[in-house]
Amino acid sequence: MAFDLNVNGTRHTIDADQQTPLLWVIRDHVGLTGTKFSCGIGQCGACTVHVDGQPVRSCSVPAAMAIGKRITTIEGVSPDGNHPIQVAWKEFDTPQCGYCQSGMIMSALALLQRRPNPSDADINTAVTNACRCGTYHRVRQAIHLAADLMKDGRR
Amino acid sequence: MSENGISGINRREFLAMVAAAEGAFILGFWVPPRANAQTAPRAVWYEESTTPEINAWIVISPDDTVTIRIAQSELGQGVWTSNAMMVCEELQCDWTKVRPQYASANRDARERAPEWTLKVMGKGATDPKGGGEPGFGNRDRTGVGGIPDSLYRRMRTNAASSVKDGRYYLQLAGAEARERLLLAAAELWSVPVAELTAKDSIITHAPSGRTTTYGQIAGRAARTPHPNPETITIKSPDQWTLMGTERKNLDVPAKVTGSTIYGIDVRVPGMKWAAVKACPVYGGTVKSYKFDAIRQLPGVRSAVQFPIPDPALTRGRIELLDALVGLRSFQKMIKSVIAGMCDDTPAVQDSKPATWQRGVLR
Repeated sequence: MAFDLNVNGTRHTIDADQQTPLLWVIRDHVGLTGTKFSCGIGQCGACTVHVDGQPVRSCSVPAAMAIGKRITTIEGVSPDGNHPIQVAWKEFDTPQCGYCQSGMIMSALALLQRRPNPSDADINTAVTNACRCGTYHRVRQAIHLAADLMKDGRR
Repeated sequence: MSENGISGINRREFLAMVAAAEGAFILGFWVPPRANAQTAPRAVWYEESTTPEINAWIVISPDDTVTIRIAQSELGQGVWTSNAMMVCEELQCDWTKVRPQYASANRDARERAPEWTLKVMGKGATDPKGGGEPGFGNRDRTGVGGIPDSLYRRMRTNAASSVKDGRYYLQLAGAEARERLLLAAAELWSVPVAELTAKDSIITHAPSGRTTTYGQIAGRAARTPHPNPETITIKSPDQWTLMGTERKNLDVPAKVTGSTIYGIDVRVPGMKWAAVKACPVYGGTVKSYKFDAIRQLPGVRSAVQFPIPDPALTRGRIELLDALVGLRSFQKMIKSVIAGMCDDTPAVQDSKPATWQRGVLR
């Protein structure tokens, strides 16, 4: 039975089982493929999106859980790729293969929105995403830079 | 993978089974064997109709955007940047206007490399200005392990060799294009080409003070052959101005917006997903599976066993692929196929659609 989802500020009518994992509704029904499938069991974080501002591992929650809420994906972070967190990510050439980085950015962004000046311990606790390339040191640098940029500015 | 694409045997048989069950589908790891590709109708999808290429590596748009085609996979090792830098070093174009693009594997299979790339590397010749050559070691220079004579010379991405194997012909590709841009400008202005200089996508004729840009001359350059491309030499390391410097990786901007297309993101009309379930024990094989039980899972179209009949051809390693391949419509998720076929998943424990037997480790 069809249901509505609000993704990046746009309403989408979804014709799918409401128990379909949110990830696959976002990728296959809404057509936004920036959010990645990886482990499929909520461990790696590649599928992280925001639901009402909270980071959620979308492979492991049913789409029904997001009905009536605001979903934000990597595509909704900024219109031009220049949100401070994206600027910071680019400054350090943070991604390697990049597959985990959409989820990494969404986890980090949720942290920064909750805690504008995170310590390394805060980052360790909140950003538990897995990166097989091992970009963790640059992710940490980029989060600190993004915190500075966001303080200076705009979003 | 053998010359036949999917390992030797059974590709035809496998596709026939699948086709009978489901109709057209696509497996991402299958590439057409070269013999077939050469006789197939010529595809034109890769050709840019409005902007002619200078050579197979380089397209320059009227706005001076330089598209550089990269024949290696960008896996985070920076090859989109390093390969583009090697071309740009010789092309002497504006680095800020370089845009990488994947080279066409289809075209690589159909077309032979330009002769002027073959003389330099893979045929035993070395760059007269020195700088060393790739470490061929015991590799056959022109064989599969060397630098083949297909259009982009070397499309594989392995062995930390994309830069050291690619340098000669990528620098040459840039140099050949630069020389033809200069020739085209010389012809347009009726001046000797030796009086022209090229820097940052601008061609200058100092005696008359005239300038033009690569974008303005590119169409003419595309129709201007080089009279003797085998005389073109590449810069030696002491002449490099871009190579050896640190640049931002060109693949990164797309990776922070989620717009990079990975294999899982490709969408083709009518496409179905195939999910492979292999025996969880090394060397194990499929003992039995319940075709109907699997096929009745939500979204599943079919399932086929995918055996490899001749382990001798695969040095005993490919028993791992004695497996089930499930096909389902793309709207549905892969996970439930895996769950549905995995006999230790609680939801399907009773039905046990597939069972395995342990193999003998070799």
